[in-house]
Amino acid sequence: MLCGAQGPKLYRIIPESVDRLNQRFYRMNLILPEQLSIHPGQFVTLKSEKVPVLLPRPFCVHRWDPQSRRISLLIEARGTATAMFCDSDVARHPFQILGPLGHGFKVKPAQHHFLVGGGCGVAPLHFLAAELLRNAQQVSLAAGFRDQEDALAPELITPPGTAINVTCNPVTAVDLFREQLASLSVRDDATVGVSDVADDADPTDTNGVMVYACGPHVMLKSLAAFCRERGLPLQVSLERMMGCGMGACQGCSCGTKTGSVLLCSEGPVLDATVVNWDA
Amino acid sequence: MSSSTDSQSAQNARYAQDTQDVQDSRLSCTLGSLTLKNPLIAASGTYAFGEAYRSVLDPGIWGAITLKSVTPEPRPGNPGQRIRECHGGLLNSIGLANPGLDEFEKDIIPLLGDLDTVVIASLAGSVSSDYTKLAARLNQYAVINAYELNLSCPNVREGGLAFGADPTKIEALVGQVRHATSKPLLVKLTPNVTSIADTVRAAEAGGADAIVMCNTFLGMDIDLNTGRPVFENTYAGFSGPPVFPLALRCVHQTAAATKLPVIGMGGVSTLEDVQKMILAGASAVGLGTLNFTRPDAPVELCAGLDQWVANKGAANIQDLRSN
Repeated sequence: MLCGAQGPKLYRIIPESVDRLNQRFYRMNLILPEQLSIHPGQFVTLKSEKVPVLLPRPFCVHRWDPQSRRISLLIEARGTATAMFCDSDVARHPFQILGPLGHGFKVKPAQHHFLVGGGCGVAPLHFLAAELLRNAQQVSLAAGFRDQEDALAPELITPPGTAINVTCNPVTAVDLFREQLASLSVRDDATVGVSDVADDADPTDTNGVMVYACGPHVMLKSLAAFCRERGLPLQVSLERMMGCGMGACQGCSCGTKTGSVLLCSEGPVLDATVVNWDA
Repeated sequence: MSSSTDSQSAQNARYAQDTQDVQDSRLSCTLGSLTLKNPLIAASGTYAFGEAYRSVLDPGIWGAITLKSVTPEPRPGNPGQRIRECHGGLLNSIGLANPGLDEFEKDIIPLLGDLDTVVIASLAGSVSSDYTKLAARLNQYAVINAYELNLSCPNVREGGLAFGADPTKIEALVGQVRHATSKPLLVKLTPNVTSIADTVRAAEAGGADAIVMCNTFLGMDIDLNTGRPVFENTYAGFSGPPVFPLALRCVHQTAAATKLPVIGMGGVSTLEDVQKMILAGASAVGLGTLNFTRPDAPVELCAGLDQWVANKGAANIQDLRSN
C-alpha cells in the first residue's frame, strides 16, 4: 500500500557509517535504495526506534552523490536525540529517513557566490558549493564556529576549489564574508567590484554576486541587514521546530512581510528580504 | 515464458485482491450511515487536506480521513512558537490556521475525489452561526461524506472549547447544525471537562451521529530562560503517547454514556493501543500525532488488526468491541 507518487520518500535504513569529525560534529552516511532528485538546501528527517524522543529531527542534506546514492548528514551532538543518533550502538539499527523535503537554494549563474555558515549551519553549504563548482562557478565560504574545538577542518566543510575562511564565532562569519567581499572589490575587475554591485543595488540581479547563508538567527539577521544595505541578493536557510516536515502539522510557521509561511514546505530557504527578522 | 509470467502475476494480483477483500470485510465498520473499510481514521489537524503524505502512503488505505478544520474566514494561526516536544508528547498551539471557506471550496474540494476513502470535513468557528454556515455551504459536495464539528480546539481564544465545555451550548449548536444538513454529524469533544458523560449526552440529544473522543489535553510549558510561558496563548494542546491512558479512560466513559458509535483517539501509537480503544468501546480509532512520527503506520496497523480478528475467530472487528 506504500505509494509511488512524486514527492518525499520514506525509508528505513541502517547507516553505512557514522564518522566522528571532532568533539561535537559527526557525519552520518546512508545509502538510499533508489535515485532521488535532491537539491542543495533541501532536508530530510531522521527518527530511530532506539532513541526515546517523539518527533523526527530535521537535517539539511550535507552531501549527495547520485551515482552511489550516498546521502550524508552533518549532525551536531547537542541534545538527547542528536547525541544518541551518533552513538555507535544506535547506528547499528535502522533509521527512518523521510525526504527530500522543502525547497532549497535557487542557484543561478553569477560571477561570484558567497556562502556564509554558522555552526551546524555549514551543513547544506558543502552540497551547495559542490553544485556551484560543478558548474564552474567561483565560490567563497565564510564559516563560524563556537570555539576552536568545534571548528571543522575546511576540507570537511566544503569541496576543494572553494576559497574558505573559518572563524571561532558564528556572528563574525559575517565579518569574514565582508572581508572576502572587500578583497574581491580591490581586485582590478570592475565587473565584479563590490561598489558596482552596491551602486546597482538590484537584489534580483544575479550577474554579480549571490549570497547564501545558514546558521544562528543572530548571524542571519546581521547578514541580512548588511546585504540589504549593499543591495546584495541573499538566500537564507532558516530553522524552526518541526512536527511532520511535510506541511501537515503547520508547526513551523515563520513570519514574513506577506504573512506566515511554513518552513518545511515553503522553506527552509527564503529570500532574506521577505523575512520578518524582528518577529 | 511470457504467458507463464503473466499468468503468475495475474494470480498474484487476484490473491492480493482476495486478501484485501477478506481484510476489508473483517475490518469494515459503520458509524451511523457511514461505512468505513477499516476503523482507522486520520485525525483532523494531522493530515492537512488529505494530500500531505501522498508520496509516502496511499490515502486509500485509511478508513476515513478527517480534513484540517475549516472556518468561514481564513485564519493565519497563532503567532510565535507553535509546537514543542515535551515529556514524550507534543504540545501544539497552531490556532486553527486554515485558508477559509472560499479557498477551501475553490482549491481543496476539487482534489478530494482522488483520496479513495471516506472524507470527513472538520468544521470550526467562533459562534454557532459559523458552523451552520459551513454545513449549509458544503452540503452540495458529495465528495464530503460527513462533518466533524470541532467543539474542542484549545488553541483559540473564542469558540471551540467555549462551546465544548458547556452541555447546554453543545446541545443547541449540534441541534442547529443537525437542521442544516443531512450528512452524518460527528461531534469532537474535549477531555478538559469534569463530566465526560454530560457533554456526550448533550451531543447525542442535539442529534449527533457519532462522538469523537477526544481532542487534546490542555497543557503548558515554561521557558526557564525567560520565566515565561513558551506559547503566546499560555496553554496548548497536549497529544502523543503520554496521553493514551487518559484518552482511553475518556473513551470508556463515553461508550458508557451513549449508544452512539464512538471514535476513540488520543495518543494511539501501537497496535495494542488500537486494540485497547476498541475494547474500551470505540467503533473506530483516530490516529493523530502518529502521522508525524510514523506516517506509514496504517499499513502495519491494518495488517495487525486483521490478524487479531482472525486469531480471535471473529467475523468482524466490531464483534470484539465492548458495549
